[in-house]
Amino acid sequence: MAALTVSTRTPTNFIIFSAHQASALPSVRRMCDSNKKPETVIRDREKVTDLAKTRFTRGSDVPIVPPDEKERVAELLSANECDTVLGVKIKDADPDSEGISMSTMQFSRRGIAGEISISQKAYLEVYGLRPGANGFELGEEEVKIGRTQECKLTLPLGGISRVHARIYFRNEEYYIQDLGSTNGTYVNGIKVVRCVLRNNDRIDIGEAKIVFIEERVRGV
Amino acid sequence: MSTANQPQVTFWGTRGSIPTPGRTTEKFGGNTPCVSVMYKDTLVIIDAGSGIRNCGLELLSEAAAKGQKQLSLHLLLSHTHWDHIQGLPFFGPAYIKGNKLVIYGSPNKEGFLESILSDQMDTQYFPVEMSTFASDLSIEEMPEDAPLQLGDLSIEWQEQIYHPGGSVRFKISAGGKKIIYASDVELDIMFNSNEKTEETEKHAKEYLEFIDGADLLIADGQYSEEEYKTKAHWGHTSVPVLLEVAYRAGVGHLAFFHHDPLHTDKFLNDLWSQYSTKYHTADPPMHIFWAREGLTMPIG
Repeated sequence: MAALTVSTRTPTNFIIFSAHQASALPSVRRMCDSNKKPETVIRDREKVTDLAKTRFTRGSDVPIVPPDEKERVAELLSANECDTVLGVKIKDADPDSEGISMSTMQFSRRGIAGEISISQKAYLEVYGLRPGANGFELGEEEVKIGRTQECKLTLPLGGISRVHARIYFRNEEYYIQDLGSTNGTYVNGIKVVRCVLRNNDRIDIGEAKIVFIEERVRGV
Repeated sequence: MSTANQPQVTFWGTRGSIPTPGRTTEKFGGNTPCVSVMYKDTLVIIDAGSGIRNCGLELLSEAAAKGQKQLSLHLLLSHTHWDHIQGLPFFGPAYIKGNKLVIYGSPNKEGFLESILSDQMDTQYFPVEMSTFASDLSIEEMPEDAPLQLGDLSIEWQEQIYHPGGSVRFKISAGGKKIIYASDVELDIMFNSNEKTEETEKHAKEYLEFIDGADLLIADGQYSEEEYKTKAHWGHTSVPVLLEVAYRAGVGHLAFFHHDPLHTDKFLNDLWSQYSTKYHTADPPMHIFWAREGLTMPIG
């Protein structure tokens, strides 16, 4: 599968997913592997692009696909109400054919939506450690920070308690909590017992200066 | 909000006027005012803006984890403008039988506090009436002649007239520390007006005495200096006036509160950058910050 664009239909419009994201969806892979007979084929790259870009509005007269495919796609959509997905598969260019071919497929919007999630990636950048040892990726597991090896993030720096603080993930947010340290935990200069962390927050723990970096990525 | 050996303050809602969710407010928060103070095993909640919903969820979660069957809660209301009471219908612990909830307000509401709170839960506005609260609920006036004593917390209060409809400020003393909550007041009238009168000077003196030496002052600083020029007499304070007054009163930490709905995280960060160094490096220093949702800080 060279490229794939999938549109999920909601009551008001279609959301276009990128080919990369869509190709990672198990249901799409299953569909593509099933050798299902294409229900419609478009051989024109511009038409494919138009189709992928088109937003559908329920009950509106806005053209939804290139004119020669309009009736066919509209029929597919109306037959499935809102809970459908229009999939557009672009196969590898066949040297013997005119170019790309594309199939229009239907599959469950709920099924696809269930496979898509917003994933978070978060990191700590620790200043005061040697380059190469100063990045720490956070996951959903708790991370204790302190001087001793029992801590997942060990900081051999001054002013840091044996087990100083922890970072934990709850309700899709990261929190830092001081664990009764001697010198305290600071977020943006304010001493905290606990604080939800936001992108670019600066954490001070003893001599360690740490920056919390968070990215949100739509993925599967 | 586990038992605390030193007073702890948590910000559950810091935004003024109306909840303001969205990407541009996620750092400082979009929920309307709610702050809790925990000391030893006593918890006091101040104001019931939309932030109180998360406060309630955490209380219930902690109680479930500890196997605690009853919660004893105290809620102080500074006033009843919408942004300070709109979260009450979403305060989970109020609906649970066995919990005890006492709501305190100004006696100057003359017994209307209960009807104001229940009216916002009239079925025209909300699907569930206040009578559905299954907790042991009582609504009381703040005592006028002596501090209110709740566990190891002692609470004094004063009326603030420089806000449409008035509001109340609270001073919570706990473990030798003083925490002041003084939102929704226009200090500019008292301290920076060309129309100074005997009355404004009296009120300014009372305010300074009330906040004197506070370890933490949570105060209305809704407008930038520039914005205040077009928002005088709207009932909120400008940043430079609050800074000057708080410093004069020897405040240790100043939390700007009741953020304007138009103020993005960047805007508030910029204000902090503009003013913090001057006060942080002053002698004595005053630590200033813009209160952010989800922050629990120790006092002491």
